[in-house]
Amino acid sequence: MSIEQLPIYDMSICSRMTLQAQGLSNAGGNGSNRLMARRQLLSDGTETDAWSGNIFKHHHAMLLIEHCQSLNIPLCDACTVLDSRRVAALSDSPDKIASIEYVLNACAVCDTHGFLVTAKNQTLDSSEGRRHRLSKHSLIEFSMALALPHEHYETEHIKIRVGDAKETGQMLLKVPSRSGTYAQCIRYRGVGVGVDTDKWRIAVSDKSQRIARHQAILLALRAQFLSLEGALTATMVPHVTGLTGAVVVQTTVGRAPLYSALEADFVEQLQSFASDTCSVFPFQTMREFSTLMDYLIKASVPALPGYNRD
Amino acid sequence: MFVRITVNDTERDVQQEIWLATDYHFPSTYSCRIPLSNPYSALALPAPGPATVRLAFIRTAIELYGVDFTREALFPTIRSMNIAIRPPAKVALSHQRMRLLKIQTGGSKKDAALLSEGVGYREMAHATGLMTVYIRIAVEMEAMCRKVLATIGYWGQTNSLTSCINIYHAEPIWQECAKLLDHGKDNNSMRDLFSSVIAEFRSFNVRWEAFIPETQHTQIQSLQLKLCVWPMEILEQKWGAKILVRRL
Repeated sequence: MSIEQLPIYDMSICSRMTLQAQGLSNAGGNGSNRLMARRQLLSDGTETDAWSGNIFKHHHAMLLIEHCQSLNIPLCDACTVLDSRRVAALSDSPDKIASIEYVLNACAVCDTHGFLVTAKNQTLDSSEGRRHRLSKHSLIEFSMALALPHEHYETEHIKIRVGDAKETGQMLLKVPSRSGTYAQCIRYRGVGVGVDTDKWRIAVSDKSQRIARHQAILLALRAQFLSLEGALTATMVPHVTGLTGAVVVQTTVGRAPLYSALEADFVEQLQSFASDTCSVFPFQTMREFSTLMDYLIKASVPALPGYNRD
Repeated sequence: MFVRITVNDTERDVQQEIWLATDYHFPSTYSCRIPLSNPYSALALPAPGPATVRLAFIRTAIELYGVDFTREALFPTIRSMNIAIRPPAKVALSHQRMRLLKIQTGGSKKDAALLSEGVGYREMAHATGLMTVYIRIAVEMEAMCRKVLATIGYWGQTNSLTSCINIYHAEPIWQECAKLLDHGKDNNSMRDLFSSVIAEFRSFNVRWEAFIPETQHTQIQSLQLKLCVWPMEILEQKWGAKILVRRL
């Protein structure tokens, strides 16, 4: 296989990221004056700090929109204005949701992050027609990030916020700032780019368009590791002090293995799955991760569904 | 175990069938929603139920072999195969508050099918140890089923990531597998165990159109709900969360 054409059927990133002073994902407020950190109970009985995969997915979608706009990759009217409902926000325009093929060709972000247009019956006066259900699952999936147990710490800061009413004046708000090493898994299914993944039929037949979308997805993935964004980052951008892990690429039909980075030997476990069709690329620093992603952005293409190949 | 009544349960047919066991690793948290629980305040199972296993099989088989081949060659096996599910050794369940897109209800008909953002709750599970799915299939189906089992990448929600570790021949360890609550028998031994509602296919000859409708208007009752007892006891409970441990 030439270096210029590494097909990615499925890809996983299992990583440990060390952060200082972050508040990327919180569990909401406890009353009006206290923000709660997100916690997850682990099966060994320890309670650990966590951040939701939702915040990472949301950030990736935002970055993907930016990259698509810079690369002139088509976006629907909803994604152009950062509407998180995706093409479902255009449900009142039947021409914009005519078919799954139309939606996938019209918008790279709906294609990548999935969407749901709910079904609707025709109104009694026939003023509005029936609407069929259209949907696609996300091609990129983020697990919850879990701090290594007993290696995370929290400091509560008192901040000032303006009250809800003018008369209320300033209020005190307690905001937790957390530090630790967080384990996370990400899966990206390159084979699904431009494909109706319910029926597994290729919707975007233009090969260059599929490659452009794939590159934009990887560019956004690299960017979100290099510059984290989430809740409270307006005044609490995390200090990233370490990044280790492995990128696993499955080049033919199958799944790139995932292994929890909570386990100390997770990279060795992933390397044990290496084969002719499964390549494991470990990284020890953010620089190595960035170099690796640069290589994949330039040298990889989205694979074709197995039984669709000539 | 989730047993299908075979049409011709002769000795010849039994000899031609094998049990295939697949170990799955959960690399992070996962959430398999209990049927009937509110999707905006969802409780989770310690492992996927039999309907989830069969549906994941169908979905993955379509990816590997296409719709037509899956319908003709694999679906008869998928709908009728015996399944046993051995949950991980330990599972912790925690509530997470999340921002969700919800389908609007009430109001005008025009708004009835729109999405809006709101707050919801979801129980998330974290496991120690592997989950094992056992399926009983005809010998000639083994190669295709192995490929499908190895390619299943999630259970239920797409962020409930899973990774196939190993596939091998083995009969289920019955006392460590989930069981249906049998009203006719003595269920005292299950008294302290974690139980839940699970979904299963309505019958062994359920139609393909029930899951993959040829038109948008096909609606067929395809699933039924059953009471299931998991071989797990509550080890500890704290602030609404709980830790389940598999009983040996």
